[in-house]
Amino acid sequence: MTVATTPVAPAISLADAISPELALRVLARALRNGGDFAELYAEHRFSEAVSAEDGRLDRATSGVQLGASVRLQDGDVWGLAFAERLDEDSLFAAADAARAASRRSARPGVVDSVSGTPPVDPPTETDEPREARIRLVERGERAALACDPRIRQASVFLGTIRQAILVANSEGRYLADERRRLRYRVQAIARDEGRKRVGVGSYAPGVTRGFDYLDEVTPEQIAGRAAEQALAQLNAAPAPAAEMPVVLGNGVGGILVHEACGHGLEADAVLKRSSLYASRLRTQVASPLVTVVDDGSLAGCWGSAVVDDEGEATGPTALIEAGTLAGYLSDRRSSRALGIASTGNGRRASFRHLPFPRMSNTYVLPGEATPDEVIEDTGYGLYARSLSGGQANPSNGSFTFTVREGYLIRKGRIDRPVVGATVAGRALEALGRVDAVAGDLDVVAANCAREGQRVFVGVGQPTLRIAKLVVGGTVPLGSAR
Amino acid sequence: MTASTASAPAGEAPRVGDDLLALADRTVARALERGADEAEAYAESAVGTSLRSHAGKLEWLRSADSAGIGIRVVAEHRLGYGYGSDLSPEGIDLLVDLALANAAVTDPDPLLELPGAPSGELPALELADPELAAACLGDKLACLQQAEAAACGRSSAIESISIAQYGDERKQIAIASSHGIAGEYETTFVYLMLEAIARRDGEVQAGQGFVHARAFRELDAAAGGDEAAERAETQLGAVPAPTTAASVVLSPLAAAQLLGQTSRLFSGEAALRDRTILAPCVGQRIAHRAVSLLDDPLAPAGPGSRPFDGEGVPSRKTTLVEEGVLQGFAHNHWTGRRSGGASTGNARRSSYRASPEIGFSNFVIGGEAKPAAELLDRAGGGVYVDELQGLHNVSALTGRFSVGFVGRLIERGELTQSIRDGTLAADFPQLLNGISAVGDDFRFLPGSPAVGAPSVLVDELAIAGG
Repeated sequence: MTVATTPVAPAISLADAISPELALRVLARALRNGGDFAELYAEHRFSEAVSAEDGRLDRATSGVQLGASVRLQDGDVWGLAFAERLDEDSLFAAADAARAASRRSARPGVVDSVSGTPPVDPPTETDEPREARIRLVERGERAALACDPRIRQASVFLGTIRQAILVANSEGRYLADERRRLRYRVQAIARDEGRKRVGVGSYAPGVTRGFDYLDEVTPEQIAGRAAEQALAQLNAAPAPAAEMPVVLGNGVGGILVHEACGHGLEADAVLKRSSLYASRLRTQVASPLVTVVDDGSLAGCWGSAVVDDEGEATGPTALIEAGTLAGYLSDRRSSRALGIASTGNGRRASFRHLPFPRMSNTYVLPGEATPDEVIEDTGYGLYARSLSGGQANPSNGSFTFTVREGYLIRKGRIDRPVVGATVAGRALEALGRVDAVAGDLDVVAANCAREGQRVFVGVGQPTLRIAKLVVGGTVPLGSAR
Repeated sequence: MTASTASAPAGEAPRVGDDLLALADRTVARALERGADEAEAYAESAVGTSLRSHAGKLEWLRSADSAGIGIRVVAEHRLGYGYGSDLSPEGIDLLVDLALANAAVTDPDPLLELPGAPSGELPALELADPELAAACLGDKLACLQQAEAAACGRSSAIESISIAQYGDERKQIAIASSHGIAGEYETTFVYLMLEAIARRDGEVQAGQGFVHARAFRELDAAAGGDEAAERAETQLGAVPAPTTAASVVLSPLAAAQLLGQTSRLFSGEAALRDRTILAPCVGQRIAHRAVSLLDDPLAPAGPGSRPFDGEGVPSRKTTLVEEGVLQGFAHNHWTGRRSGGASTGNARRSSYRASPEIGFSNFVIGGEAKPAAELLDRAGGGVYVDELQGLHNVSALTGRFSVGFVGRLIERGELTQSIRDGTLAADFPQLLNGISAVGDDFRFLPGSPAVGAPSVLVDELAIAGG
């Protein structure tokens, strides 16, 4: 087989494809029978992934997605339609389809001009070629297997996304942004001699930056963390089932705040009063030790971007300040309904979707204690070092999370690992019972799905302790002690 | 270009109704020209609407009209994949080149090949509602209003409707390969989702209702509203679940939710790679005699029904567990070959963006059905699980899972006090062995995969509450 050069999707400039003049014509078309606001959102996404399992590099995929949607506001009604090509006819067809829900409006739609931040330059080709990606994957796999003879199997995934967006709207906005994301995942499987027990570890950092990240956090380190998790499970005991103090590990522990609290602070849930936080602004919703911030401008994090998917600048938004509810996360639509400024949290899964208020990087600010002090101060409890999947109900704050890596704490020391644990409770109670917060803040990558739209987010926290939480395991506490 | 696309105005991508199969054929030919030894193209197009109303008024309307293609190539026994939505000749060439470049870096496998053309006819399935396109915006809004009215009329505790969403989609799928695979089909899907908010004495609970159908006129909007209201109201006054080991009845929804997380346990690839605890158990009893598990892509009412799988292999029923005994695993062409057998027609693609993996179409729990009320009688006392929360995959390597739930107590065979914040922890084989009866209240739940289950009685499970 002959492939002369390694092809990549051309780094197209959306600003070349959609000039300010074309954007203006499309917006005017959308508003030609009236309306309050029109927006054009174009996206080019180039995704590449390679993965290896059991010593074979067996999957390599690439994908190109290109298109633009037109969104129209007519009174309280919003319409969206999209085109998968960027020529004028296709964009006009989308503009017409976006009107499907609108009446002939009394409000004349006006659009004079669009201008704004100069579009980003098309990036120079600095991507790692496939061959280099393969070597990075092989390094991770080798490292995982070399950690310990009990690590019998490993799989590694390396994926990148290069996403260019362009936003133009009838208020004169015209700007472009580009986001480069990278995710590297190692899964390690440990088995003991008699193959009686199996442990599974998984570690998957994700960043909005380039391959230089893997010079700082190496494939070997990522593999080591996955292997450590897998090995711990080999001598793990079944988790107890009881209420007890729970120390949540830094980083991924933040998924609890994301699910149980953050979704209830998305302004559309607040507007519908389907959130338990709807009428609690400036009231106590957590322990005074808890301060929660959402910040899409954090450099390099998985949920970061310079602007959101409506072209609004991202930045820090205080959600909970020393236990008091301080604010909500909003997009254009919800911020106007609430009479506040957008916090720059209008996000969408792709050009095919309507934006909603979504979290970016949401995390608990660090406190004064050290992680060791938090553990030492715990007589008996669960150290949930890493959580995996979970779910919460924003109407009442109930949540359940699976503990991926957990240990019992006895007399202030980390004791035996446990498997099969979940932690469950209610957001107000659980956050109200936070009685220790350490200084080791870490923000890690997660994918957040809501209403069929998946967006990349950062979740984070320092090590912290919840004085009492339901731990769901298989062994009633009496027999576990 | 084929006749139908050549006659379309310049610059227009193919739409539903255009000849997707011809596009797939052209793409395969192009891949062979550019250096592939074998090639397969999977093309998909979809048109649909989704809309949401709030307090009876339209809030937003989204119109989707989308198409894309995924190209799988084999070159020198190596596999590569490329996908995209640009179906112009230049767009297709780029995807072919990307797939070939990917095939240049993967490891070779002498057993790698694409499946051959089936010998017989593809099963004939009626999966599309020809009348869906005739439903107008007003009809769809009326559905939502009907659901809202049903929810609000059910109980004075229902304070508001927080979400009322309707969606429909008409999807066309075509596949072609250099090995003579050629097939296409069309499906339609209609759904309605409602979230009702119940309030009593200052306590607020949300409940969701979800109904789906293949045809617009079959969508039971009122049932969706009823379900949302009932689930919201049932949770009012719920007390924390007890911590105990008890008989548990999983509702059809909960049983289907759980089943949907177990696909990988029955994956032929996981079995080959020693990544499922069931790998050594073929021919052994892994579940109670009352339990059968199967994948039924031909089920007339199944949301996941299809005439062929993600690599064009004709669909057929695959029995995984029969009367408690593990019969085998689900295979695609490659894992079937590697295991010394054949594909079971279980190559699955979630969309053109995904290369075929192992998966199910309609994954269902079967077995001799008992009246659902009899399950409660048999349990006597215990816990009824209405809905699982915090779902995540049951680990195929350990079989373990641990999920949250809301439900009700069972006392003397009756559903009584509502309970909340419970967790259920077990390993899946232990649960399968503990199932001693399945009910007659079978229900499908769409998703990936679509799953279907009746209520099931599990003799003893550990429950934790707060």
